[in-house]
Amino acid sequence: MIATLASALIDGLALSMLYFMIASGFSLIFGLEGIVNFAHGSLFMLGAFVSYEVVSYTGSFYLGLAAAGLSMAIIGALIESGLLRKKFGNEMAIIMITLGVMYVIHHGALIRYGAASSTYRKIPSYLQGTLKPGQLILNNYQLFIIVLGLIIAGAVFLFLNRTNVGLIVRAGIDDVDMARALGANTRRTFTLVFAIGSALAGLGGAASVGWIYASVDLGLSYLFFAFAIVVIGGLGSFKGTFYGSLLAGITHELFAYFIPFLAGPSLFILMAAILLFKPEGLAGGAKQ
Amino acid sequence: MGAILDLTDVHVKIEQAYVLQGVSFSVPEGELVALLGRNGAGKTTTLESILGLCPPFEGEVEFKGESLIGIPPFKIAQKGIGYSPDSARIFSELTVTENLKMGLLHHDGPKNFKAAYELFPFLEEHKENLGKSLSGGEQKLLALARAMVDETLDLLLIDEPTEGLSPENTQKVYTALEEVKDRASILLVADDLELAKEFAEEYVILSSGADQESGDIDELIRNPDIAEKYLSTGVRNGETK
Repeated sequence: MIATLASALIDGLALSMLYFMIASGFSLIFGLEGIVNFAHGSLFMLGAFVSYEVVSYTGSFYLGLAAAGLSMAIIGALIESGLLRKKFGNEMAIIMITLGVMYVIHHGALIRYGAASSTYRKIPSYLQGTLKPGQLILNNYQLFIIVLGLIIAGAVFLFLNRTNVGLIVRAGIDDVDMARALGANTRRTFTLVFAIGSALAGLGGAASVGWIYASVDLGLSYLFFAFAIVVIGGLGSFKGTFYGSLLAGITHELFAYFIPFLAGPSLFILMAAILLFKPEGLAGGAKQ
Repeated sequence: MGAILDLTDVHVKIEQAYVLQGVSFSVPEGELVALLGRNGAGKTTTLESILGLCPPFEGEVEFKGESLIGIPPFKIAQKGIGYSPDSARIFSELTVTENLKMGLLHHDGPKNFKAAYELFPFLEEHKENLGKSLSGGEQKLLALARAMVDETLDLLLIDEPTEGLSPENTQKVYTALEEVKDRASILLVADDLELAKEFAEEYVILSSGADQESGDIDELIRNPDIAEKYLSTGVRNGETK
């Protein structure tokens, strides 16, 4: 029983980190720019396929991760500066543009890869197999995802709390007009945050391929996951998104191990419960 | 001395509301001009039009002889204009120190909050606390300190700094204005005529989105009918009721 519980927790932590990688960017973009980026899940999916292609071509797992993160950062910056910037303030236009980008990426991937899922096993040998401390069986790749997620969370936390740009991001989440009135170049910050958020989604997608699979359906599924987690954590709150991801991932895996038929809807049950009892989210939400 | 700020026939609409309908006045360099008027006269919008937050659709705003029209707010601020809004608008999820740092974004060199801490010692005591943990009055003082912390600014736009403050905190605002008046020009939206009389050299009265009266502050003190007509303060013989 304890070994099963421990396995569920490790699986849950790994899933939490994938959730975190997509939801943190979604939350930062929403918090700072007030944009619900419907294309965010598609960037997660596209990151998975970029990684799949690069690993298939070069055989380098880490090059696949880096390429996914970097390419999604560039695509995110282009979406923000090329398509969205001139429409800030026009919420309907922003929704239509991000839905359009989602549609284009989704159907482009469908044409290229079809509906079937793809996966690869070209991950470094030390990330394959399992560790067996005592009665526990720990999947090396899941441990890798946990470490990667924690490193990314730490890096983003330091960026937000120890740099001037991070200070502007947090101030902008509170009151973007006041930040502007004090001399903050929020245009540049918007683009940077969009790029970082998209890179995190791409990295999450790339990291998922070695564990789950790359599939066109990933985009829409993970968009819903990201949305639910941001609501659970508190809109615009980075810490809240981290806690929300942990809660969502661990809850999902505990259900998957012990009450499997509830695993699928567990995230949305959790979201409904949070909305009922703590509508501002776990961390209170920087932007109510 | 020449004007550091010039507004000429400024018109601003916010959504469908025609808020400013031809505002014109100047702030002479090194002086404090009090912007007066009843609620809804357009005082806050005037400040926001200068900062580019509510850009004018007609008219001219010049700072040190350079037009600010069409320039984004962050660049206007970087030209040397500080802003303390009436509703404080501190960053509630940032610490007190981080709020002050936001006032020094475009200030080269080390960030020094000593002057702000000397004026408002409670800020140093709470420097690691989140802005939202401060009381309403303390938040208002933090907003004023944030606008004043950059000693290189040439112009401060200060909106109703004593509104809703206790007598003790109002006195702190007076002390702060006394200090900052020596180093920057100030456009002060004054909710309290006493404040204007204490610090201003000149006044401008807005009514229905346009400037109606302006001149030397002594003129306003000598002629209570002006205040009676536009401010409804009941000023008689230099006293307010």
